[in-house]
Amino acid sequence: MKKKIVFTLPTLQGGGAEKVISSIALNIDKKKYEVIIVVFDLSGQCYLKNKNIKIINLKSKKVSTGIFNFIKTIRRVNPDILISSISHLNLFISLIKFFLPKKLKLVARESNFLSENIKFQSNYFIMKILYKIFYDNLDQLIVFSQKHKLDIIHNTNINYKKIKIIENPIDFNLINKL
Amino acid sequence: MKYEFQIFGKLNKKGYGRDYYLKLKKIIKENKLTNIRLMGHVSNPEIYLSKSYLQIRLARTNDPYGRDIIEALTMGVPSLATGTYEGIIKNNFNGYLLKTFSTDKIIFLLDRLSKNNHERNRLSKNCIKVKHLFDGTNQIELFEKAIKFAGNRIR
Repeated sequence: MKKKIVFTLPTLQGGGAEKVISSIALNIDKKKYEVIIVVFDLSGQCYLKNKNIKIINLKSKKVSTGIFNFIKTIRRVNPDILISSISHLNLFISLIKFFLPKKLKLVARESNFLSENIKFQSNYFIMKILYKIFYDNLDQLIVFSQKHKLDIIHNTNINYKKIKIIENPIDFNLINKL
Repeated sequence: MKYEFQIFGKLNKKGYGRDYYLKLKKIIKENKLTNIRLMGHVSNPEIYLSKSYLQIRLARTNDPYGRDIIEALTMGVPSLATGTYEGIIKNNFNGYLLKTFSTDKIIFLLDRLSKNNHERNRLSKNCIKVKHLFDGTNQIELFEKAIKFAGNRIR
């Protein structure tokens, strides 16, 4: 039986994280997985236009204002795996874990050094504490290097065994065509 | 050598970044800087990157590791970036890393490159030497393994 995967992002506008997630969603084995994208704000999308992939638009400019609609949508779709990218969304998901279906596995992909990201948050201390309390609610965290892994361990409470290193990838077939 | 600068990225005409966008536009117009072009967001940056002499990638955050840097590297285009993480750009090997933003240093490096074409070729060759590290052909497989691993964990 196919596993249902939901990929979620704040937007699908241009950006590295959006590009990586779009690429994975498009290329993942569709015989094994049913793929759905849940995006908070679909306006200005770049990478999945006219692609044969189901997208649910929550029509919310901010993650914080769309979070209840997000919970409702995830409960309705009832996926096996939820994959998110962008650290503030990853944090939100780890916070709301207990409102999501019990069978759901949470996989997050961290695209930046958390120590640098937190610096620019307006509520620096609160965010720092939340990462220290809730990040271990994730079932798996994907980072791009050993140094990145250490940064995550230093700034969150996640069990290091849940962290997997996958280098930021490049589509060599595309590059070679240029 | 006279450089042509193409500035990419979302510079909103409305809302966030609007003032900065207008300021840049005004400076370009007032000084008749015909060699600077505001390109906005492009969905296929690889095409522009592949034709570039150098990528200048400045950021407030210490993040010289974005996709744009890796993409440029795999095409043999060196980057000049701010930050300290040497996982991708190794200073003076396959690009330049500035610990902190400095206009003087950037001008100095651009001047150095323009006077010595071998320097750019050296950086470019070193980019190609390490590009295999970022081959994404097995990325989906690795991702599927990670998903499987998460699925096997007991909550």
